[in-house]
Amino acid sequence: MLPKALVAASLRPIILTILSNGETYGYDIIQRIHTLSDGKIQWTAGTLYPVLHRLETRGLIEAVWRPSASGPRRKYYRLTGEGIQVLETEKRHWVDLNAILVKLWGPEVAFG
Amino acid sequence: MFDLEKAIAAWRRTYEHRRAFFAEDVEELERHVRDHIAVLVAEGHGEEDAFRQAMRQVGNSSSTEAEYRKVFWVKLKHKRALVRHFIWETTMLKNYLKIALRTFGRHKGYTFINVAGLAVGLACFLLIALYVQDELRYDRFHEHADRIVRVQNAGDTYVTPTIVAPLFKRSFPEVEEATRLYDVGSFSPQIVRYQDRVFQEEDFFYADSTVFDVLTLPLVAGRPETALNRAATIVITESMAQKYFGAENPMGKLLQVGPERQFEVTGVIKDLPSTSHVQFDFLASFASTHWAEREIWGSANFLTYLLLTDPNAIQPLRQKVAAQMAQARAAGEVYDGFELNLVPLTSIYLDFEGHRTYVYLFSAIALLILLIACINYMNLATARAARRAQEVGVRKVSGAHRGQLVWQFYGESALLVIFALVVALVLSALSLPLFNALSGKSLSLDNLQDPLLLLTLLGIGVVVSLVAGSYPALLLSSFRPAQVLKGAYRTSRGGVFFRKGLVVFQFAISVFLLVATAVVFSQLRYVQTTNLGFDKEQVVVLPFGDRALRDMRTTLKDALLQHPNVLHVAAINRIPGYQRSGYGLNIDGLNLPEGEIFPIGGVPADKDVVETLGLELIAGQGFPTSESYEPDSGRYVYIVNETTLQKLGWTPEEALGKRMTLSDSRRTGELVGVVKDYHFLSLHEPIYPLAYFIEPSSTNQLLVKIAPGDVPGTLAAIQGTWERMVPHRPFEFTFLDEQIDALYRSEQQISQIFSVFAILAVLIACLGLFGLAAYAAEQRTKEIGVRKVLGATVPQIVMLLSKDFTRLVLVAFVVAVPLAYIAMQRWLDSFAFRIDVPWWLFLAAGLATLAIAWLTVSYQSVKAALSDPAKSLRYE
Repeated sequence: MLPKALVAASLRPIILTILSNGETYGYDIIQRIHTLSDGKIQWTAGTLYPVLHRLETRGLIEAVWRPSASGPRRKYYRLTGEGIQVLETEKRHWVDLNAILVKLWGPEVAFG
Repeated sequence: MFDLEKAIAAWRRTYEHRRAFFAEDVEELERHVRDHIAVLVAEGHGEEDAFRQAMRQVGNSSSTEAEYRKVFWVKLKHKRALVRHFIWETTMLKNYLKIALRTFGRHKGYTFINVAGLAVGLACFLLIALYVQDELRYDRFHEHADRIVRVQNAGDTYVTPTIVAPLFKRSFPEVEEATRLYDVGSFSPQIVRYQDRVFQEEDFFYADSTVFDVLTLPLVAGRPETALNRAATIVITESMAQKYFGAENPMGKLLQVGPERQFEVTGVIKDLPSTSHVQFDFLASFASTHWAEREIWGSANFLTYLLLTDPNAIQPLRQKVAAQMAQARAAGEVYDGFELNLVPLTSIYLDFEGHRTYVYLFSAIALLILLIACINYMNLATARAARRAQEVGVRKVSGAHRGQLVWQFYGESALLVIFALVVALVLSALSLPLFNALSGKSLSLDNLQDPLLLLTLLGIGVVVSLVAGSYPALLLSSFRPAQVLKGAYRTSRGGVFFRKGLVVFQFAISVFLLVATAVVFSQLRYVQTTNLGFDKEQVVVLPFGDRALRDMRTTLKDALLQHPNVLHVAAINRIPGYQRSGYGLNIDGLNLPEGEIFPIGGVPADKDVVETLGLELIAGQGFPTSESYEPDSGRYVYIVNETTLQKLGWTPEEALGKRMTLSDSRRTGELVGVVKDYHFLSLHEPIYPLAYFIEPSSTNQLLVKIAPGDVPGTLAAIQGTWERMVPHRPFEFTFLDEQIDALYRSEQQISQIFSVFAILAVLIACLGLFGLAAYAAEQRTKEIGVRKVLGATVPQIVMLLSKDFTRLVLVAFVVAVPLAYIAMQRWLDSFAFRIDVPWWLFLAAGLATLAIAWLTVSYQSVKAALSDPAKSLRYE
């Protein structure tokens, strides 16, 4: 399990990146992160949805309710044009940060 | 027992009363829980177990609420903003609409010019679209239209030998079915009788029984398999059934055709649509005659249609046909140079009959007119930019984005286009009868139901809105509010140049269309007034197509000549203008290489034909007064035209008295005369060698030359004689000059339509110029005031204002003239006999355009020049 503060910081880029692959819904986002992180990141609905809602009010993502064949309607999220731009900046920040850590620790540690 | 729905409902209630959650949030969470449970159940967990795990994952309601509370206020604000935004948007939309309508209302003149110009432009477009749609629809009504081809001679005739249909069907697997038609009525109209109803019918055909398999001819009575498969059967159209049988059931009734034949009606088909290249009212079975029995290459009078297995089969089939024809030529079955072509059914009317050019021409005119109308809008809108600059400034200062302004102006132009479209629909509905009369079509606005046309119209509306609105939208929205509100806005140099360019473009189109109209009219006048080399006036044409009539030819002629106003009477095979035929000349002293023929047209007639047509005999005695032409007698007599001698390189003296024959040695005889060349086909075609010979048994028409004056009396006398002597044929006649005019009917129609649209184009362009001149005068109000105060006279001021526009029209003239010259030369090339475009015609068109432009501008100029300088300068 990763520390909470680190998880909280990485929430935004992770969500935006997942949405950059196409629109999807909250439960699916949690599942994907669970798989991607080999279970190291375990978000609850209570952490994910408020973040999604905040991103929505900022205009980085937008939401739409769609009917579903498997049950009641679902709320889908997708990136806006602004969201795409923010994601680009965010990416650069994380890559820069990563570069610094790699330099400090050497490649063996970074990729070990 | 665990009940999942109840459990979820209970869980849901713990959230619903917590204030940090909007109803939507609870719904989203519930769906989340359901998704999770569904996944767990699919993995093999029990429902209760799955529910508990899902609960753990969501977390308890109070800790979740803590997270949601962090964003609650932000979300609430966002929601309210959305609502406010929506209200604001609708208010803005109302405001835009209000401003647009106010602007339209305040500038009624401009609005009128814009709507009128666009509406007339769109109406023209609509009418032309209907016309083009109708043209493109030719022969499409056949179910297998894309698989039907017509076999035709490589030359310009489209009749084929009897053998083609059966041979092709046997030899080529690509041919699914083949059918032949024989048009007997157009050469010798048939007399059709049922009891007391007798009519002369021209659209009388013979057909193979397979005609129903190839063409789509829906039968309202009878069966396609049996309608034409035995002798003495006939299929008629619904309107013929009505004409001959009225309310009676036509099936099984007998129709008398000519004196000898009787046909049993075995089928009734729907009338052929007007969009069929071939028109028939009667289809008699080939089984009734011997014509189609023998499969021979010689008798070449059949229309042959093939139904292919596949639309793409035409290319391989063409190669096979070419190979087959090469074989037939090698075997000597057909003459050298004989070729057969396959023409797709749908291109017969457009390509073979040459209507595609006009389809393109009219489409181009439609687009040009629309463009002129759009340019008007752009010009006026940009010219008025200064007036609206203030509004744009205020809007920008109040926080309008550029995008909003762009949409405002696009919206205005869309609104105007919608107005114009409605007016255009009304206009085209009103002018449709006139347009139909001009074009000879029967178009109706019902055709608008065609989704493609509707879509096109919608697309045109959008495109026009965009094109017409773009320049103002992009230019006006780019104004800098600070400058504009200080009043520093000036028409930019680029804007002025752009506007001038557009005006030049408009007037170039106008000059082009005017020149084209003038050239077309001159050529048609030339066609109508040129000396055709024979006398087409006062010649009555009577059908003469049956044996009984031919047998009584001399008595009938004598009886007609009794009347003092009847000058000459002659029987002829075909009338001038329509004398297309192909023979091979053989004459003593002409030594042709093996396999080559000397092509020559031939017209069977009787001895009086030269006088009756007023042909000018330039050498020889002409036809003898006795007609001794028996076949095989060797006593045929021939008269040839000048071109024949030119081609032979002989003088009349060398030629006269020579023994000659046309195609068939049974027609051997002597050359007894040479006539001056005359136009025996339309002026589209050159004059080639032609020979007249006496053979009354091959004549189909009787020409009666009458004296000018009291034509009705003479006609009545002829009718009296006819009805007394020829009771079996109704008296139906035409005049030779009418028949000649009919040769140019399509050109006539097209030139009329063309001229109407050309004039409309000029009119719309002038409408724009009028608005522009008004704007220019307004812009220079103060300048004019100052000039007047300093002593300028009214003519000087008018001159000043008209000068600019004059220059533009002159530039347009220079641009348009070479283009018009090239285009019209190409059109004239379709005539073998044509005018040379006179230089003054261009000048006249230019002057006309200039005069119209001057008139348009002068109203505004004079108004401005007469204005009181005290008023215009009051505010300085």
